[in-house]
Amino acid sequence: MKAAGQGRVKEFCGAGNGGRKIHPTKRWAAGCYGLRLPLKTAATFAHSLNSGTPSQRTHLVAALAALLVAGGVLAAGLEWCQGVERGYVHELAADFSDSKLQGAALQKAAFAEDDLLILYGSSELTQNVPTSAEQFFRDYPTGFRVFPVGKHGTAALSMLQKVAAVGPGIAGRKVAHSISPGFFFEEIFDPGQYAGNFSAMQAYELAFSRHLSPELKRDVARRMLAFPQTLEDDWLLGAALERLAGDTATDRALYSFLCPLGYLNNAIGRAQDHVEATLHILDEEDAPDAPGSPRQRVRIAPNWSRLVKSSAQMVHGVVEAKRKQARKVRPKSSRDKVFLERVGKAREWTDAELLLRTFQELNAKPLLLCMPIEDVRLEAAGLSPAARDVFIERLKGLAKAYNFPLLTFREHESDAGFLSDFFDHLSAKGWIYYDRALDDFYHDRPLNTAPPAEPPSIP
Amino acid sequence: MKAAQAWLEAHPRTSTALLALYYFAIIGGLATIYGRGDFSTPPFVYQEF
Repeated sequence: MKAAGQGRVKEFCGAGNGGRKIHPTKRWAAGCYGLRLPLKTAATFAHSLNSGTPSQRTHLVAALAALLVAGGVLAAGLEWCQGVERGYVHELAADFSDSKLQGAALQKAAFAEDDLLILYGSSELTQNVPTSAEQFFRDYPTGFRVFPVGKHGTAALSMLQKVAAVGPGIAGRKVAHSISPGFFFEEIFDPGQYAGNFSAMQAYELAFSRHLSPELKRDVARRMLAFPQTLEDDWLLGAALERLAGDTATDRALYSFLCPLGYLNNAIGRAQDHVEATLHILDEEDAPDAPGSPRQRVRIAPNWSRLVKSSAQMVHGVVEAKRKQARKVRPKSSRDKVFLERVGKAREWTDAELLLRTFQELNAKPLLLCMPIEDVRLEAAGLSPAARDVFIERLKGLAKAYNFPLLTFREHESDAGFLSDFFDHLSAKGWIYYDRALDDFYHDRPLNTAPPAEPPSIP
Repeated sequence: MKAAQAWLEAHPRTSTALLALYYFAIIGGLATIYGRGDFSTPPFVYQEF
């Protein structure tokens, strides 16, 4: 039996045939048929080392050696890449490159650092405001730096994919999430903005995540399939999401078949992510020469009252411009009905809840910060305060359902200077309040959004 | 050419090492060409709400 098997193997290799070449088709048919194909192939490979021609043995040994060396080089290279990421991640707080936003390596590296607080948000993060959290905490005034992640149009569905890509690295970590109310004021989110924030790597991490429940992946997949243009060039991702969304017994079985491919794809994606992140760090012209922050870490207790006062002077022009614009665009009749219909149907509610579920399943400790809807904005949009209340109460209900702290800054609704425009961009003054909330959150102090008390005047 | 072949046949260890290097170069080439991921996003127009 053994001899017969060896004979077949020799024939397959061309050695048991007097050195005569066999037609490839016959060779295939002789060596690989029926369900024995994988076993035959493995056996052939093993036996070839012993029974193949010297030339074949040389090729096999050389190929194995090359694969081993390549594997070693890859492992060493990835370890070095991670070292570079760890060394320079603090310097990338102000960075909004694709490597940071569309990958996961740098976000994972940031979550691993105790003196970095990750702030997820959207366009408000990329505005150049001198009091923005990134700039305010740049020199670690109270012992930490804020690491913003997000750009224009990063709504909850895009954000949750970023969080899912970080995976267990977020467990037990504090994370802040800035909510833009404007995302809830449209029934359907603009597919162009979703596509502009879409990362196939992050989507794969979510679709084949081993840390999220099948129910959550199913619900997220159903939402992701609403943007089919992002999945057009990726059959594996599309197929996995469709199977997850289908959720029948057949779908679950087919998804299981896809999993090995998905895991392999994720492994390749993570390696590519590390390489891209390292190349990006090395490409930075103003990267520091040595790892670690070259900046001095000077501890200062911020005087919030004085900061609010000085920032109020900075937004004086903004307030006037907004009031003028509100008077100009103010509609003659109430728009409450249309607004409430839109808010009621907005898919962003679904996405926001999915994001909170993602935080919960990954055991993150999020703080939710929602920008206020100012009175002047209501005036410009023809809305009543009651319409605003509907939105705020629903948001509060959502946060309460997951027991996550939510700050709505309602004390500042009458302040036209909290935001710099009508599109959810914080002004210098608004950022000071955000900064104080982030500082309190980082240092486990009670959260307070009220205007700071005036220090007692010196007689 | 024949002399080189004969020399390689006479030195099997060197031959194997060179072959391994050749395979390694192929793996490295493939990794360089296809190994880099695409983390860019399509351009989009920011529409204000």
